[in-house]
Amino acid sequence: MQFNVRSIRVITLSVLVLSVLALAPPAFGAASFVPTRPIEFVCPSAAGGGLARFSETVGSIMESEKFVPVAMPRIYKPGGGFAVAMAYISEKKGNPHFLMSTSGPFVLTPLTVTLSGKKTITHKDLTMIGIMGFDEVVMVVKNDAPWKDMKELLAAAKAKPKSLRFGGSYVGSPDSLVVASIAKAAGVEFLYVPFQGGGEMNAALLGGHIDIMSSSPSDMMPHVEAKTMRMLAVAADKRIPRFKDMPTLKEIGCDLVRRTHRGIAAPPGISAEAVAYYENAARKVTETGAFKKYLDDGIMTPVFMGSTQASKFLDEYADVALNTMRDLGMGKK
Amino acid sequence: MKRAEQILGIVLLLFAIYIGYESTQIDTGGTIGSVGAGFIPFWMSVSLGIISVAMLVQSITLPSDRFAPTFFSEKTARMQVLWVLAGYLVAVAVMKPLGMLISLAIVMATTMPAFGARSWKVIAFTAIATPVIVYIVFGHWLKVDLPMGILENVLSIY
Amino acid sequence: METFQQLLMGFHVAATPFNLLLCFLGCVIGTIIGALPGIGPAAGLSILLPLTFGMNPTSGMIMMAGLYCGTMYGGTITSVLINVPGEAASVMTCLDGYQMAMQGRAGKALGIAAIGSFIAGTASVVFLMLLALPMVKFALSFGPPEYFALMLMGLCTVAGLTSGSVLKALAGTCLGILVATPGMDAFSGLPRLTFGLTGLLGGIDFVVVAVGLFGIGEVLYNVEQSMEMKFLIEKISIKEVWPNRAEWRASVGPITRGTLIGFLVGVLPGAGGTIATFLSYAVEKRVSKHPEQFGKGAIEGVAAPEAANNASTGGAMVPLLTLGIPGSGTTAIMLGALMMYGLQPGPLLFLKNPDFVWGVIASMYIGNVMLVIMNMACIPLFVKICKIPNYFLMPFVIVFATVGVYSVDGNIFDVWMLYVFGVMGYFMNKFGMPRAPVLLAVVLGPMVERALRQSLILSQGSYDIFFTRPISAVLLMMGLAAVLWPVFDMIWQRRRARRMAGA
Repeated sequence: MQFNVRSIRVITLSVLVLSVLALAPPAFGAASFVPTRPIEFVCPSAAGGGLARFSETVGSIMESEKFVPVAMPRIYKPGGGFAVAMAYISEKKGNPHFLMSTSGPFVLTPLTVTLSGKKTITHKDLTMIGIMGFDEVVMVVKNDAPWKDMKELLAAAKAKPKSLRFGGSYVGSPDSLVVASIAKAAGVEFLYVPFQGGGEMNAALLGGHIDIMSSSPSDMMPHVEAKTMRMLAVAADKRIPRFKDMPTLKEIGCDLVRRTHRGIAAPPGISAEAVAYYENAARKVTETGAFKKYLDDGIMTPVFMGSTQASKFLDEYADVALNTMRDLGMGKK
Repeated sequence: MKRAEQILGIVLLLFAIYIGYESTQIDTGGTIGSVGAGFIPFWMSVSLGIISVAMLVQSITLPSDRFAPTFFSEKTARMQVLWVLAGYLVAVAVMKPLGMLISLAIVMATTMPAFGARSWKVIAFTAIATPVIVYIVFGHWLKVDLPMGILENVLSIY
Repeated sequence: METFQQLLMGFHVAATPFNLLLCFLGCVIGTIIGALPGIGPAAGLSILLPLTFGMNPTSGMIMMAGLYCGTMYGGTITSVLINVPGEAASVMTCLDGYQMAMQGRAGKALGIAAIGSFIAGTASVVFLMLLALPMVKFALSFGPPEYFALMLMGLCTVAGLTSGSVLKALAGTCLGILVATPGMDAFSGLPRLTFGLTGLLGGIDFVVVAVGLFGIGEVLYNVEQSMEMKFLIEKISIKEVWPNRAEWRASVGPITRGTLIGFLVGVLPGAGGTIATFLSYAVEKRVSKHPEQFGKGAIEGVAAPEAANNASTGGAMVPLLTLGIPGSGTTAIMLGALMMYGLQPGPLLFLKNPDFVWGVIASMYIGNVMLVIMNMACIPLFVKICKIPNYFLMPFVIVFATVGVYSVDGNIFDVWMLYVFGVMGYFMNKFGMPRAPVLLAVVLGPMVERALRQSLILSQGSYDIFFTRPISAVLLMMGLAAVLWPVFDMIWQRRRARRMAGA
């Protein structure tokens, strides 16, 4: 390729004009990336939920600890099981001033949509920055339920197929996949009843309209303490420190580790320097006391995975989930 | 007006048929439950179809003196509705490239004359003042991320 | 009684000057936010949330409780004055409130709304203290089949709510349910009826439909009528805001019934205020001696739904406080805020942090008192909005609607949908097609569908489940009665007319 003086002049001039417009010091030559304007931190779910709490925590730590030199306003773009936010971020191709928080549906929603034969934006189309924690899934029954532990419950389910009513969120959600995997591993059949929102489901469990449900341990804490509900098992690879008595599904013979991650993603095609910059910032966040307290309050498992590792993790997660979905009978036949 | 009622019936019927057809194409996704994702849309469009046929029959059989004589009150009124609609349409269409503030100015500038504002000074002032207030209240205080369009780099919202 | 002692302690916590000031600030901000379309209580709370982090949890929560109550009052103002319902629960207020405003009785409408809300809000706090425990059993007995029956009964009454053609009302109901179907299916997680549009994946937000049909639709309709139409304005003083004796007499019944219905329905998690408002409206229209005046500025049509709406907030506190289950989106955000303060929401909150819980309850009460005083004093000021010339007011409604709808999800697609629904609202107005059934169906449709499908999964496909359970069977019978009532009524009237003619 050849550049003549004129074209170089034009390029330099336009770059200069643009940078003046952006009211920012030009950043050429420097190998490192530093954000120059506020970063839009998109939360793909509605305010007030679990992921919103993650976004608020990460965003405020980044701002207050000056891990980023600019503001990081949280922007809520809920809807379509992340699809709306993912489409929004993918439109910002190459722009390093946009980030979004991610969790299970980041991988699973595109999978369900692709399974139904439609094209959509998947997690592979965006740039993963890192994974900063894991949220576990626990199985919960009413406190006076007749089953002492998960084994008894599974035995009851086996004795009378389709007699136990299992509550969870929509089919294709992280917890629905856990339920499907349990059913497959234990060779039982549940009546899976999808609910929208934990409130409705908790009421249905307490009212005896469903027998068992899947939920996150932090949502269950108050009910367990008040002795209105009991937790039977957790779908993690190790017992949760705060609930030492609760076995993992692995221990009772279902070889399952399913969890939903909490992480950050960026638009496609941003520079390697920008990825490294945000990766570093995210790592620094996980090392702060405030973030550790957030994980501890939510009974989440601390972890940090950088960009490459996180992408690999999500790819593997997608493969396993895809198989489970096929087992469930989802997708075009 | 009798004619208008008939058109309403036909439009609703066509809409019902189209949605009814679309809902038979919905992927029900797996073997969950006996009633799939297409159940409610399908039966609702069937009901809408039946109702719209009934409306159509009613509008054909009833004598015309049971309806108002004309649909639009007069020609100038109709033109004014179209004018407001067109102005608003332009405003919505340019919202992404030019930004919310400019498009709101367009709304004000086109709608005010239709409601009888005569002084162009008042119109111009309001058309400029309104977006400014919106910018301060919604963008600045309530932290709504308004689309800024071409003003993106001139006015930063944060 | 123990509960009263605890409430007294709550007042003790809430009545410090600092907390009172916060409560007042919350009320003011809430009223303003509630008056802006698109920014409802939920969004308002999340905007305020960061502000409260520096405070202690009780003060923060008191400010939020004030804001929550304030948004309820604020929503009424726009419904009455410019026919834009800010949230689902104020749709019914639009019907008669806006008509009253056009007749120059805006002050009266706002006045009875504030008074009705205050009475109902107060009564529901008392009910909450006395009846919380027995009500819990009632709320828990509602499973999916019962919810289905309740919602279906609601939909059956919709068509009878409005004056005009029943066929058109029914068509509106079907349209409304259809409008609510695009988006991600809550059961399979698959998109449906999205026509390949990313914007439709999130579904069509209620606010878009409400503001489009009522707000924009009304503006377009007014363009045509602009030369003739004018708000009738009377000079309004605080004295005239108070209902006169006849109006009192007309409103006492609706407020009482509205309170009871609101509290009962509000207790059910998820069902919430919306159903309560229009069930109470339907009841009033049935028991009224002059049902033909409903929709044309009947004061009962404002008093009943406003009372029901506010009573339902007290009802929603029952599952929240006794079971730790939020009954609405707004209470869910309040729960989330609790967790940020490091408090564990749930059944033990009462035992572990009684000063906090009762402080909040007391502050909701104080907030109601402040709001009723503030509103009554400011109504003459609000009503001046009607005096603004149309060529300012009407374009402002469009601007307001556009920005408000955009703020819901930050999506320009929603503005396009607003435009579509605005045009639809205009034509519905021209055809005399009632718009309230569409809106109510948009809210109820998804709930009906969810409950139906959940029930059928539970029963493995058998429809018997709806008739073998007593509560759902009774509710379905009531729904049937609601459909058949107008028919019987017509036959009866005709027979009486014949007898009169014969005599």
